[in-house]
Amino acid sequence: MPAASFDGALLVGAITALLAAVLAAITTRMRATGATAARVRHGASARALGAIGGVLAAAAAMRALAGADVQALEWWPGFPTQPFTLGLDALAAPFVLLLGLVSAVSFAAHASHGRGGHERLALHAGFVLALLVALVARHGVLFLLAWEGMTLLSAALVASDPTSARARRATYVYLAMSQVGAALIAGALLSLGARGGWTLEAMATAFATLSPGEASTLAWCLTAGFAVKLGLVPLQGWLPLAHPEAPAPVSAVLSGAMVSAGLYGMMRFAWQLPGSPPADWGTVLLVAGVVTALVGSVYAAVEPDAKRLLAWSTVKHSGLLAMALGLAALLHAAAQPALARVALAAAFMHAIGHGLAKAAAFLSVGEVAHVVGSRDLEQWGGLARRMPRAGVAAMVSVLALAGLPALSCFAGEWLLLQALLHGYSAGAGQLRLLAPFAVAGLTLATALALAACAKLLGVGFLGRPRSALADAAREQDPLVSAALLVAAALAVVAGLGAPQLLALLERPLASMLPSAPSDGLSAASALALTVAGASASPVGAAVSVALFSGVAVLLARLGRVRSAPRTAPSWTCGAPVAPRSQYSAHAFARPLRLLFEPVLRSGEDTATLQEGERYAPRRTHVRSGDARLLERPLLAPLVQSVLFVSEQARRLQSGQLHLYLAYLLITLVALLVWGRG
Amino acid sequence: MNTLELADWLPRSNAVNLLAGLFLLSALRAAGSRRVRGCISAYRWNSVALALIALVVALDTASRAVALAALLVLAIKAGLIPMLLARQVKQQEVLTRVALPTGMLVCGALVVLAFSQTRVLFGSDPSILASCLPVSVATTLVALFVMVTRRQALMQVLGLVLLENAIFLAAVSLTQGLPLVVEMGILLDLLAGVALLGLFVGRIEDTLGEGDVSRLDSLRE
Repeated sequence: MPAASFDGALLVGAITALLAAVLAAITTRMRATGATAARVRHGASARALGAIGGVLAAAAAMRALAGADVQALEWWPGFPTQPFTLGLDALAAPFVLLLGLVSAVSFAAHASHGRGGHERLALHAGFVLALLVALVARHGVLFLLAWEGMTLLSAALVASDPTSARARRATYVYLAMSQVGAALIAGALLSLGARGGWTLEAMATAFATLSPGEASTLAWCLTAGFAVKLGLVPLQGWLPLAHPEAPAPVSAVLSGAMVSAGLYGMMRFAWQLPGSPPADWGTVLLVAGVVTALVGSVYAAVEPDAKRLLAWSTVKHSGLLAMALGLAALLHAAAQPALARVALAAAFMHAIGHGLAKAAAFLSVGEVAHVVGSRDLEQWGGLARRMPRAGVAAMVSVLALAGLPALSCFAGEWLLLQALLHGYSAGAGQLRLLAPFAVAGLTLATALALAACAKLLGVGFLGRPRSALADAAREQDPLVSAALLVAAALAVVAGLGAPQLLALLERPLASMLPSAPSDGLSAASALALTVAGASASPVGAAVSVALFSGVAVLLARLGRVRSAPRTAPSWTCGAPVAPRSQYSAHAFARPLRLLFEPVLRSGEDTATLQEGERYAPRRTHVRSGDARLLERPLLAPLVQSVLFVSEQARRLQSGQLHLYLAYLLITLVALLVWGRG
Repeated sequence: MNTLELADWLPRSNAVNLLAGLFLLSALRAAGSRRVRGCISAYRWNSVALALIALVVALDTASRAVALAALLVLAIKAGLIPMLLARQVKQQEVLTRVALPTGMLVCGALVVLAFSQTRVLFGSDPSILASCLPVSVATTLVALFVMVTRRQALMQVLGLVLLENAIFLAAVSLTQGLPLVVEMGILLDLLAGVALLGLFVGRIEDTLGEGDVSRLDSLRE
């Protein structure tokens, strides 16, 4: 009993700390503007409270993973149904762990600079709070409220730069798509709640009483709604617009934790509550996941904007998450519970690994973009030397995103690949057909992601600065730099400790697949799959990498001792050496851009101006449209029809009082005649 | 005759039915009158009928609170509000969108509709509400119709207070009287609302000339 109340207290503490962070940030704003020191101190206390809240949430999640069933709060809001309950069960625990860690480092790195800094901090804390409540809500209406609050608060953060037309557009697109998703979710949950009750348990029993057709319709509605948050093709349009526009710490939470909330929603409401996912669910998710991963990685490879590149990479990784979940459902349906466990474990591992790495990447790249004053990679260069800590954090996290071994994204991708390969040989029917394409798509997407990461690091952080601002860039806030290093260290720890992390996922896996045997994967020190006969050891990989690079460094040292370094001018065909003679981001991506032009349709147009010089072009113009794959053919008719309906609806809004009253009268009469039920 | 006998006799008597008829007829008179002052006096009669019905309910249930509420209704709705409204009358003629005879036909249709549908809703229950609820619904519809079809802001305010009377009647007949605090709150609300609306009507008439609210649509965006 004391242990249980302790676990509950951890969660309550997390929520209280986040609330206190919101209040602290708001009260700072209300103070007189003159007292700068007090403002800074209050901002720091809000940040500290937020970070404490994140750590407490992560601790509660660890307790839940260790086997405690955390019941925190019960509150009767006067609603004529069950009380609002907050609780942390096995399924939510991995996501709360991820959210806690990501939000803790994001608060630590949130230096609230500039005008409206404290408002942003308050919104940031409120957003994290809403996300946490959405994950731990055990009541349908509370979940919907938190889900909506999360969307609205993050939309306010996306729009936090009032002068940017790009941010405004992103906010509109984000709100429009999110509201459609939220409407689907709300419709399905409300119709479920009206049948049985509002707690998750009551919803599960309500699902059991439905006919198969109704149940699968509801599950599909929920899936579509959560696919918007996950950013699956063709619902990905908002993600690369909205995620980069928010301040960097918020982008970290958006990409690191909110995307995986979409995965949580699918697992919880479309799989766990109905007992098993609807038919063909796995096929659709697997196909959508492969397409999403490919689209995301192609766009990331050709994107010149550093933060938007990371957002496209998020699209790629959410594609992988959908692939893993769909594969698990397919294997579950094909009576391969042990392999389904592996695929599901891949989804959990990848959600955590990608969340940590992406948070670190957004924090470090965002900090660099803030210091340089531009997100355009063509303005960057040579930043690893000028901002060493941010450079190291960006290096580690971006390489982790590329899926290199011993870093955080590797374990999930490896498990997914193993489940695909062995599912192919063991699976029946659809999997025989789908798995080869999925494997090809996965490898292609990973290779393209590596190219995107090489571009980001090589163009942005190595070489010489391409602009005066990049040349003048220095690290500003030591606390922020330290937070960046902690974030990157988390990605490394998650990579090296992947077997231990996998061992922690025992209860979430069992809650999703109660029938599966628990010997599918054993995680002693390596990720060993007894069912597939394969294993990988992140620590071993790290040791061998360290060994080889150590030998290389040692050889280089020895060589330098023998011959002292010479300094000589480099030969550059007679042209002066300038930062502009480096490989540019655009040039780096050009082969890929040409290769994928039929899909991208960016309408690129290159014009070289000779201007008298015969062999050395003076200037090269490149004009390239904003590539919008899938959006024109799929969404344009939808947009047109919505506009048409709104135009018609505008006629109802005549502004005449009489007409409004007449609507009231007509409604009343109609209700009297037909509303007797 | 002591109280017990009275409580026994009242539900069987036609007193409530008569008063409900007066209530509905005065509402119809407000919908059909050509003179603004005639409408206001119809509203006064409507309120008197309402107060008397509340008094009957008070006698029936022997509730002192409902009796007090009935007296308050008499004082405020039959006294103060018509006075406030009458003070705002600048134009004697009622301006309508629909010709008055046509309007009366529509009102008749609304009353028939209300009676038929409410009877279906509640069945035939021999209590007080059997006669009051259809009347209340019918008056609601008629009052809304008045608000829809009149051009003057003042007449819309009148429709609003009429609508409030109908809702009050429904509350009294359905629940045998609300708690006194609630009724007093509602009355205070209404009084403040009418005072404020009177102020606005004055302003609107100053701005638009005749208080013709159909010209308010130029405020749109």
